[in-house]
Amino acid sequence: MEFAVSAKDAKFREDVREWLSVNVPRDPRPPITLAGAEQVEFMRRWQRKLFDGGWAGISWPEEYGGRGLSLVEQVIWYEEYARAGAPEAGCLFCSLQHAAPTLIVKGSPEQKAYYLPRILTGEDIWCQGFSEPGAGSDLANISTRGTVECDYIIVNGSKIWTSFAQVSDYQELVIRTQPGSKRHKGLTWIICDMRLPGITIRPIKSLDGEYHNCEVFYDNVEIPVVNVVGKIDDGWSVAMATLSFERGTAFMETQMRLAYTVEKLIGLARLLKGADGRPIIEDGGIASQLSRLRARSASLKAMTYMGASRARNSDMPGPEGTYIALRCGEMKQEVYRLAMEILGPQGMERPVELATQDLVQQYLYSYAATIGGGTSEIRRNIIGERLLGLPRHG
Amino acid sequence: MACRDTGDDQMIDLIPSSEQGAIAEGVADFLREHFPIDRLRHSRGTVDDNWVDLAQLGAFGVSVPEESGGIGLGVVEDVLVFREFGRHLVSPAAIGTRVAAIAAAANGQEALCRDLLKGRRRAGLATPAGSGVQLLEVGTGDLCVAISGEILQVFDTDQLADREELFALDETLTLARGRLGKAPLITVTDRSLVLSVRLLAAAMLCGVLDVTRDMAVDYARTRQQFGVPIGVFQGIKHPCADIALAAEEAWSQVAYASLMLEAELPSAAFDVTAAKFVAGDNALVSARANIQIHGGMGFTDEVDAQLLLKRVHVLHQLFDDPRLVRQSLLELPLEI
Ligand SMILES: Cc1cc2nc3c(=O)[nH]c(=O)nc-3n(C[C@H](O)[C@H](O)[C@H](O)COP(=O)(O)OP(=O)(O)OC[C@H]3O[C@@H](n4cnc5c(N)ncnc54)[C@H](O)[C@@H]3O)c2cc1C
Repeated sequence: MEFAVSAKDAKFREDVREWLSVNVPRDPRPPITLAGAEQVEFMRRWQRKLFDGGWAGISWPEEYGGRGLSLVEQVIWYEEYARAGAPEAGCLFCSLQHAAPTLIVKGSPEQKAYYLPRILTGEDIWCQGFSEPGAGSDLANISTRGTVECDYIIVNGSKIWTSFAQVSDYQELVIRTQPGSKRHKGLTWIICDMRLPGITIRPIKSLDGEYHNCEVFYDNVEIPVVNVVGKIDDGWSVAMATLSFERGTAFMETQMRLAYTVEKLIGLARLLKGADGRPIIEDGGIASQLSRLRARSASLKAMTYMGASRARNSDMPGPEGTYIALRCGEMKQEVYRLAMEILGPQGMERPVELATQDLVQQYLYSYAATIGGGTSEIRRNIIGERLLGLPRHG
Repeated sequence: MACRDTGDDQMIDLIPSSEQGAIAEGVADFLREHFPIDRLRHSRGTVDDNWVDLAQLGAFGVSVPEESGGIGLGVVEDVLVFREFGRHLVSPAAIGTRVAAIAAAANGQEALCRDLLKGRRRAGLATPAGSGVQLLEVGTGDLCVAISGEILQVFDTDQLADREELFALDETLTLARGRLGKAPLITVTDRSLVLSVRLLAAAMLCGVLDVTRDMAVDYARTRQQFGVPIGVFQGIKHPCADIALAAEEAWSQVAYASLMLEAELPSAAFDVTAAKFVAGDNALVSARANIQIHGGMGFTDEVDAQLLLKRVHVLHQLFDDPRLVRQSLLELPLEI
């Protein structure tokens, strides 16, 4: 156990803070709408700015155009990023946090050379096509078919919940290529160009009014075999590489944002008065929940340091990332539920135009935090079975 | 050393170094042999026979300066040792003894310091209650440590008045009511030292959490109903997962806070307070869940689940009313 302070890191923090204070967009990130054009334009501009400023791909190895920052530097970056109120990744989340790390670990040299620079500049938007109507928590039950014919794989079937499909250039698509194969075997991970003929996209309206998810249909879509990442029929191991990223480092920024939201709520509870004319913070119940969440934000960050300390000697985050994912999702909901309690009647009001900075909007969106990327129930199963060695059912 | 200026690279490492691990392991080995938890089923409210041997091991003097007979390390190494104490339900007098020794050394009372380190004397703990104090593990001839704000005081037995023996919630510990005298043996004003006392209580809670997790998981794997281990059922599996998460969360925060305290950062007060709160809250919730997981057996006096629950209550209350801790969590400055 060790804590080493350094002048270099203090300088790094200063540089980050200064750059962000000048460059962070004043306007909030637009919501994801049916067509999604506003958010795409906004995020592309922001990512380009990050790239030009030398802040794109901070965790990527330098050989792929990244900064190759140490974990502590990454933590500093995310802390400052959240502090500055810089935009959440939104439609660039998949390309930056899933696709790129997967390609770096599993992609061919040609795939890396073509896609990685385009991801870094924000030119391409990616989405993740894993879930299907019959394969949600039970992801291995994928049935969308791919038939290998010469240099092409012909895809038929459908995906659901694909975030940002309506604005994506590429999709991480997992399909069953070995006829008659079961479960984790016989799957292939392939890069699907979303403009190919035979693809139909149907955006789905979410309970917060945004269009977070889409259904995607494939009717004899011909994808070149060179787009396969890893080997044909070995897609599960590639998908798992992606998912472990989703459960690990990707939560850093969310955590920092949560910590700031708790501070914001404390300020709000001091400011707002209840129907009795007294500041909300004087309510013992609210105060006690706020202090609880303040302590829990700290311990969530400490868990991240613990995970990072363990991961220092390994390329991929360990299964302990599931602890962080579980805590993060449930805490997000607690924080925004409390926000609603503090807002009281004001929580019944929403801006006429959807706004991502609106607390009520964030509250409604928080319901996704225990579903997307694996439900809380599945996360508890993983902890119970893989970390604690408890028996599986059946 | 736990805090250094490397000049070029900052890092926070929450995994013990091999030297730190070896210290904790040395204590753990001794405790496994001489302090099994089931010793408490038979010897209620009596001093552990092996207290002196534990002291001779150096376990109370980890952060006492070498020239005063200690090992001369810091609070980071202390929390590792006190987590081991928690795993074996060692008396909270370990906290009193360690801090009284540090206070004695700082006060030039070298003989007293050595008596404490060698196990010839023990120091229990005073917690304000009603118009007087509760005396936890303050037996005949023992010293007593009290904290208030940033002040830490050590009292000798004859400086306590109106002593009245009580029956403790945790029957494995002694408890009395009393009043502190006006002239303590030692008074020191030291913010970091007071914070370290809270942090060590949190570290002990982490140890109890570890045992709680292992006990719950063990039972979930072995107890069979409906022809399968009960751990198959998510009504059991998920609480086990929650206990494991609670243990990970609490220890992460305690370890982190120990580094901040050692480095004397301004935010250490918040981090230690958060550590005490999270460890106490998580340990309490987990101890309850462990009883439920054990079914009827969990309700008995014969299974250790009840020992864990009661010890958690004691450690949670120790030094500060959890209600007031929650309040101060809202006030303390925080750097994020
Ligand atoms: C906002 C959002 C964005 C998403 N983005 C994407 C995306 O970009 N790409 C993608 O591929 N997918 C995406 N998903 C899909 C997501 O991964 C799935 O919704 C999730 O895995 C759950 O699957 P399901 O919806 O089919 O629910 P189901 O699996 O049908 O689950 C229904 C309920 O049953 C419970 N349950 C199921 N199995 C078990 C079990 N074994 N034990 C205990 N309880 C169980 C679940 O926890 C849940 O409460 C997204 C989802 C959301 C909400």
